[in-house]
Amino acid sequence: MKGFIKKDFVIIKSNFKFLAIFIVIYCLLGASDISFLLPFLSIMVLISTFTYDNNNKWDAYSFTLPNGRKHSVQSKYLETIIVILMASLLTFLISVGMSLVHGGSLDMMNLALNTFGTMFGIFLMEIFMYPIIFKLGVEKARIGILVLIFALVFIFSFLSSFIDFAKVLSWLSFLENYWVLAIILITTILMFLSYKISLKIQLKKDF
Amino acid sequence: MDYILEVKNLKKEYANFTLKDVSFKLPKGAIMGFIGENGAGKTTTIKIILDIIKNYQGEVTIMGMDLKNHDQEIKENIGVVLDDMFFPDVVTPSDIDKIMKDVYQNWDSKMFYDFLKEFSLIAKNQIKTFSKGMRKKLEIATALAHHPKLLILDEPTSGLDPVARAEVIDLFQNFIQNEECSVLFSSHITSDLEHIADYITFINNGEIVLSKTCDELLNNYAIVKCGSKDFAKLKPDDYLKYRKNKYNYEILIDNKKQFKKKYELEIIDKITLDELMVLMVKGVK
Amino acid sequence: MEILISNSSGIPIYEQIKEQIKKKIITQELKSGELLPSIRSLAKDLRCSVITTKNAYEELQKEGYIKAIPSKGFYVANINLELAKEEQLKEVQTLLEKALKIAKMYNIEHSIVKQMMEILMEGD
Repeated sequence: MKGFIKKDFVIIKSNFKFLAIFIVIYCLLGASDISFLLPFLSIMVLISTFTYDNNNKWDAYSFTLPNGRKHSVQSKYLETIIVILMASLLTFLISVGMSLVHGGSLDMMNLALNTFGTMFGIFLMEIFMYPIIFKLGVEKARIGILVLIFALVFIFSFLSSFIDFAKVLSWLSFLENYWVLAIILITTILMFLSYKISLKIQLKKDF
Repeated sequence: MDYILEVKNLKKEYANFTLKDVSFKLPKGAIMGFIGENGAGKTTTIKIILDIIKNYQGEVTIMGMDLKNHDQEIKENIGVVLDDMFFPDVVTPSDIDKIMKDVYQNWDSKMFYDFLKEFSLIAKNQIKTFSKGMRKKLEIATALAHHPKLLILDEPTSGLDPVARAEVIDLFQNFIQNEECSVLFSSHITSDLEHIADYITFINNGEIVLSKTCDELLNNYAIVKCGSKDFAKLKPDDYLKYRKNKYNYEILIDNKKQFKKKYELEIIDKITLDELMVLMVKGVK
Repeated sequence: MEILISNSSGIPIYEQIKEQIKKKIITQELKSGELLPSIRSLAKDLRCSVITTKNAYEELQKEGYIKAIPSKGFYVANINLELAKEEQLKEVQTLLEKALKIAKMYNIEHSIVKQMMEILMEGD
């Protein structure tokens, strides 16, 4: 599996200059919310490795390598998780740095929650998109995730006309401080399920 | 005889093409050429052997092991070159070396770099800067550098100039100096096959038409050319197929010696694989 | 040792190889007991299939010109020189028969053929 991860990092490195310029311009344009940028970019870049694979029919070739099918799934999940974690950590450190520079109060807890929330959101993207990418390819997955987001927003606004979400949230407050743990637990379970589904798809795929 | 590859009763259905009952065997220490029209089923068969297609009926046995249950061990010992299926083109040969070290147990960096040198390929350049011929050579180097026992290649010399083709053919012959190693490659360049193939397997419309030694095809098969009077004298049992042309009949036979003794016809010519293919496909019985 | 193969002669390649090696054995260019190239290396150097060289060696073995020693290779057999001489004479005879046949076809008289032979033999 290490080899497959190395391959994807070669792809990412080849896009590095472009990414760096993009980030610099984004910051210069005075964007204030950096907490979203790095993790989001990370997953976008990792998803682009799927496109590179596709263009050179790497998928088919990789199936001829020992454990190719299994490693192709394992490597994508592992590298995405690691990169998102690192990007989130980096974002957190940068946010702390920026607050210090701006002076004023340093609300670590708030920043941490912010970063954590974004990270969770990006992990959700991975959880839902990756099986679709393995099954149908990147393009369909992009469309799929947009549809999903719209559907969720629609359902949410539809439901909020009869459900008081504030009440639901306060009901959940029995979790108190454990809600962070709960989210971590749920994310882990969902990620594992997503991985299993992707693995099943990849093991049965024909080219 | 010891077979390195045995393919038995492969069947696979697509919307507009079916692979029907494909079976053949490749002995150890041999080179087999796989020929057939485009769309006849060569690539599908090769993909099944390489585990790129998993949903099919039939059996594939490589080095005595069943592909469905031992694919990991088998793949360590197969070198693969497929048309246009390789690493993403931002990768460099030196990246390939680092990656393959973790993929194959027997990856031989020294051998890989020796090949790069022999083929004048620059290790630090991205594959996208390589010409078609250079790419093919890189793919072949990658396939050979983990000491496989079986090389499987789909059109390995297509797009190569004659000099490069000769170099690649030499590589294959070098490869089988080890009697445990074999090569299976599909090709349209039948002149290459006529030189070095030990066996020829011919597939048409998803079915195996024949699988014989190349010597037998070139020495015992022949094209007979004659007029309609002489054609009428021939017994259908004595020939395989024929084509009626405007000015003559072309007949495919597989028993040159007996035929010559039996019929006194002037033109009984040595056959080329191209002619064999055309007559088998376009001829009638 | 030199072996020359014609792709357009119509004679199967394995036969060409066989005949050329046979001739070298008869003329003792390849001496009795000498080691021959392996089937595989010969195929590689002649750029032909392994089956071809295998056929050639098998026939040479059958006709008694070479012998196979397991895990060592193929060696030139001890050739009965009488047999070899006979082969050589046969070859000359075949060519003379051919010449006479052509002479007959063009109605050239035997006395003229004899004269021709003598001139040629003198010139040698």
